[in-house]
Amino acid sequence: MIQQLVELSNRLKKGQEGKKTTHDALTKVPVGIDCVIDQKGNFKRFIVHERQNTLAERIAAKKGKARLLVDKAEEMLEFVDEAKVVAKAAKQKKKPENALEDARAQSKFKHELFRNKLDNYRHLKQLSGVFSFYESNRMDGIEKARKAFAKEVDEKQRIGNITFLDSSEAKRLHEQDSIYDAIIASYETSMTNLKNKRFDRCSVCGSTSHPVGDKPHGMIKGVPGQPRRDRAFVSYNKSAFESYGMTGNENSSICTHCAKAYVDGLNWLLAPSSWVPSERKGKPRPVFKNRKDISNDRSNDTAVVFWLRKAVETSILDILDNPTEDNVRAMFDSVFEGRRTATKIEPDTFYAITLSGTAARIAVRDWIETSLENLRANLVRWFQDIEIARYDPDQSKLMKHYSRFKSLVWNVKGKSDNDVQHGRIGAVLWKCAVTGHSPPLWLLHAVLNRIRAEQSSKPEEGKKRSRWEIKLPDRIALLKLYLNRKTNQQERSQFMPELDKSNQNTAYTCGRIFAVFESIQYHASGGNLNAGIRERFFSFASTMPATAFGRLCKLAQHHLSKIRGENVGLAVNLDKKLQELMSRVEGTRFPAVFSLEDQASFAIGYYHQRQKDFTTKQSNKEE
Amino acid sequence: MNNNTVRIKVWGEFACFTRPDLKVERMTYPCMTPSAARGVLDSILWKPEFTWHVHRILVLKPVKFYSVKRNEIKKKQGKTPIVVEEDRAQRNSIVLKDVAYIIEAAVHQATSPVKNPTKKYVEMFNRRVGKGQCWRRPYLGTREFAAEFSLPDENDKQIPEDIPIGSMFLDMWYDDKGVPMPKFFYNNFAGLTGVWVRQGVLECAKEYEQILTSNHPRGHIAEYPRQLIHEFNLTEETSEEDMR
Repeated sequence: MIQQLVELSNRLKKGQEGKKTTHDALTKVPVGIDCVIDQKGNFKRFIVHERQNTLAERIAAKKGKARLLVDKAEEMLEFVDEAKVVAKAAKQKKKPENALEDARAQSKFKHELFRNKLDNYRHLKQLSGVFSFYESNRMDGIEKARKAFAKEVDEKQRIGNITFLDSSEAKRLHEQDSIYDAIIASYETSMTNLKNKRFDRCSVCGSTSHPVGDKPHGMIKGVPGQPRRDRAFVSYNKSAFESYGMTGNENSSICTHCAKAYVDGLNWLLAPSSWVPSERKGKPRPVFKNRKDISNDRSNDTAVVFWLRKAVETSILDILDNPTEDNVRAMFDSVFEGRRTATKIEPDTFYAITLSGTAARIAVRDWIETSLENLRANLVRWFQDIEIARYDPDQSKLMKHYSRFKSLVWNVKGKSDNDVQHGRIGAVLWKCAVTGHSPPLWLLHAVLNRIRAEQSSKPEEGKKRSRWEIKLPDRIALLKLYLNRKTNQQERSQFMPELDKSNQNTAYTCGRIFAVFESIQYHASGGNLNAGIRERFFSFASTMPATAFGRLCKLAQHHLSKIRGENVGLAVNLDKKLQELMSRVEGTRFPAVFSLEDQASFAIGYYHQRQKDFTTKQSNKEE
Repeated sequence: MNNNTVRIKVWGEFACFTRPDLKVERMTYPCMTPSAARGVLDSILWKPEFTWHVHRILVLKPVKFYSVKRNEIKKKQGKTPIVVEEDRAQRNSIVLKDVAYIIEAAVHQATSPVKNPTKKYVEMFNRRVGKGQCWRRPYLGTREFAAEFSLPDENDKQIPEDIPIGSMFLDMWYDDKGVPMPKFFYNNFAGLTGVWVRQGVLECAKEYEQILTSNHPRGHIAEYPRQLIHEFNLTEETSEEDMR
């Protein structure tokens, strides 16, 4: 996995090897404030601008370290935002004097770190102004700047990085070649000191050119999970994780060059490619090209990142979020066309990592590696397996329905749960979609539980259908997915998207019978039903058919005789339908208990029959 | 097949061949590492006079990943007992489910003394596997995933699949002073980058040769147990000669 990330990173940096911008010692750092000083170190003013990226020293783990010439107000100016500290102390019910004292001590410590780092570069003539700013010209330099900072810089902008800007030449002091060369030289010496005979070869690239040592690899940004912070991918923060006498990152045997490469690669994958303005208010929303968040929206803690080896970016997976009949058919056509004709899509490899952020670090949930051809074939299979027919009241006919990926995830357990299970469910369904594996048994169990638990839901005010009915197509799609992928191994017949009259499966037929009972009751009651047999008996009938259907048959006969009194033709039709289905049940004996898979078949049969009934009812109305 | 090679089948419910870089939130390699294979063989038969040279590993069942979340401890175990409430850490692990492998290895001796010919150890090993004897229970990657072992059947065939792995941990190499160094291997099949399980077979014979120069560090044993072990070895060898 790390090897492929390193490869991705190298691809992204292609054409820039050997340049300063891609050297391990330097990286792009966002800055927001410029501190203008002149050659003698006099402070002039602050310029606050929009966030820009600048090339500066790379610090893999920032805690306890300062960056040369580009850093925050605490490091550079020994600044303490007194109002903020006091407000925070009041919230935490601490004494403001103590809080201020702590803040000042912390700021002093950070400033010391900054000055110590700066000391190493005293030999550079270009930084003479900076040294005067801090030392010989203190009063007009740092002291004046500190006082001006609170006035000139807005409260919200104060957390940005500050750089030094030269007043006469209008260029940033750290963006000079001599400074960069000095940083690189110092980095190279530290690397040579790190080289250890014990770990000569990197486990990823196998070369000896860069050292393997106990240096932090770098933090990954944008990882899903609470709390929102940067996390490390590879780290050994407790002694229990170290072995063979190796300390820290020596255990991974990854050299510093590969470490930076995989960190950059992973950051690129997790970052948004662009931002779109939000419909509601305030912050623009991120758009991701190589990433999908697959668990609950509000407490999203799992995401998948994916890429292609040669092409890198891929939009083929966008179809999972917005499948319509047209674009799915287009995808089927392109895949089957590609198989028939000799012209193939350029072969490529597809990689996907499923990861979530735990408290301390990133947990990898899955690693998928497959060819692009397989991916496309698996996506076709996915859509074939989740295809379900749904009666569309606006168009008055059965439409092909392809559930969106997210709605499948939510409907396994129920959307309102702020459940961390969603991450697990999402990871499993993603694997099914991309690799063609069959879903696990617990998924079947969870969906059936939901169907049974919510059976008595009623339509809300002013709505025609209950929540249960609205969610039912997605749940039936999941059941169909499970059964069809399972039956591949057992050679039972596959379930079709819509009513399949030739399917002889007992449980399927029982489901259909239940649907017919429901429609009989509906007609008998004349449309005024408080709680029909579906609200009361669905769970019972799907688990213990022998007992349930005995009762339901009796009820149905009563209903039929009532209908016969009003509409003989309708009664005859319904009776005929019922008899035909009853005769299919083997030996007219209902099984005592249904297994989980049978319960799923029952639900599918019920659903199919209902959807068919809606269409015939509609067409009967129109005739 | 060479006279010095042995074949053994190992299988188990779970296995975890941990990647060194993702050791904290454990992630497994999709296939058994040569180090784990050598560990299985060592559990059954180990003598200071020879080392195992792992040639190939055959994968008999398709790769199935399985993720668990376990309570583990943050400290290393030592003489002082650990109070779990203070040092509990929850860690995720991705392990393999339902695994079965056939390990093909050879007995390697730097010099072949007359008194301890290589053939002797091969036969000892086969006898022990047949009887189910081992000095400690073999395990698949980590101790909690114990393995069953037996001689392979003719019906055991490897799966005809190609599994890409990338770079893989080979084994630990010890120098004269007993300092361990991890060794990795990067390519094991011409024309492909990375380590691959080709048609169900992981070839590592050539790459494993560098481990053969590794030193077996011998711990300091007190005089009396050392004497006992020496006498025990002698009686075992004489009884084997008697049996022949």
